[in-house]
Amino acid sequence: MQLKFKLTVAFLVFALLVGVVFAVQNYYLGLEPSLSGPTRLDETFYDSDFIYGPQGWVPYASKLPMAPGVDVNSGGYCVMFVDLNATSNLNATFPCVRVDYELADVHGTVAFHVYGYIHANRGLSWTNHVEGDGASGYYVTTDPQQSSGFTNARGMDDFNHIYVMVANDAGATFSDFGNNTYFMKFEKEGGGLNSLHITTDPSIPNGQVTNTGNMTGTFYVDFTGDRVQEDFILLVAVNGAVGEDFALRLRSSVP
Amino acid sequence: MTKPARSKYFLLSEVCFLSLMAALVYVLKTFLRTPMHLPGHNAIFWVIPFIIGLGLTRKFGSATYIGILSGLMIGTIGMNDEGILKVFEYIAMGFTMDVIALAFKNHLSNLLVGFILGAFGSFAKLLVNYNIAVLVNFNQNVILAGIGIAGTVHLVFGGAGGIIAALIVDRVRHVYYQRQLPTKKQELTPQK
Repeated sequence: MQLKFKLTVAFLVFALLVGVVFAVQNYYLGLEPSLSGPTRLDETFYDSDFIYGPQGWVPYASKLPMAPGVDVNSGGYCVMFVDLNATSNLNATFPCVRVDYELADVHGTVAFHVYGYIHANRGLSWTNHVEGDGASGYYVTTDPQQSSGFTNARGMDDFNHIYVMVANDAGATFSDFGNNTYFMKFEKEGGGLNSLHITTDPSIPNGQVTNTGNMTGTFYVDFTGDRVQEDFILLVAVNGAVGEDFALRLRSSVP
Repeated sequence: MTKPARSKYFLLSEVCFLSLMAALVYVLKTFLRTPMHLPGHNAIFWVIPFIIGLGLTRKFGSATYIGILSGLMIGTIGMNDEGILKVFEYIAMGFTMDVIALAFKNHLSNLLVGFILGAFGSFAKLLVNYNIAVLVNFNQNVILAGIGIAGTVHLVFGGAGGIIAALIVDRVRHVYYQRQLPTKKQELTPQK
């Protein structure tokens, strides 16, 4: 057979493969995602649970901005960590953890970030990022006012290699160190940023940055890498004023 | 002047060379980090040692040998969750290239042939990767949700690596390469 003929056949197979993979992807994305499942957390948090801050960054190998465009060296976000006590069901069509929130008496911006935990790793080494390629995050903004009301908040010791306390009544699901903390364990800048996402649609696993004014809502956290996360930890941060009736109810479930 | 016959078996010098290529695959896979957020784009690097090894030895099994050795290194001392199962991805990649190379035997320095070798080898790796994910329940559904992009990136970037490899093969294939000394019988047999 002539080389030209062989090459033609090979490139036809090449084109066929491209067509087939996109057909499979389109079919899969057309499937209906499961949106509900067993509840893993249902708890209400108060202003006293925000024990870190104020700050404009989230823990990582370097200071990552809390929100797109926020200067990490300024910003008045007070922070708490919530153990969602859940991870994706890998047999689901679109594996993820559903998070429902209900906010009350808050005037400002509430930011949500996610961290991933693997027991063998003994630390949090994966998170989402809110700027650049593959960014995802979730922000609720309503009636912004000057930051006030978080009397328990104290600055974090550092942005990496620190122990962070979760606000859950039941404590940390994996209390490796016996004190309801998780260890921030990021080895190098650039690593651990591509796997975890926050999305409003489970069929878009890579997520997006969402800004909303809704005091109640739903988003999903998931991972797309091949490191199977065993637990998700939510970082919740508020930049603004909170009233006496401030409360944040969080529910996690695994569709 | 007679030319020594090419043994169908690997010579010691060829085994050494292919082993070096396998080590190069391991180094590229483990230590090279690029800022592109596309699954499989690193195929542009991995396929190069495979095709150079195959193109210079021109023997069936060269790429499979590189795949076995590099897969073992990546599976045992590389950093990945699949562990030793990783070896099957690289064997599949090498074997696919070996089989395709049979059809393009004397044209391995052709850029289009390099593209095809790299693209299909890289795609075979993706297919085995998906099957391993199904086997050990490693988020396989997420792979399917993005298989269009991932598959195309593997094909295109693998193909691009193949072109680079074919260019290299074309430039170095005439360089003196230590081969086994011909036997007396081979010396007397004129080669075509």
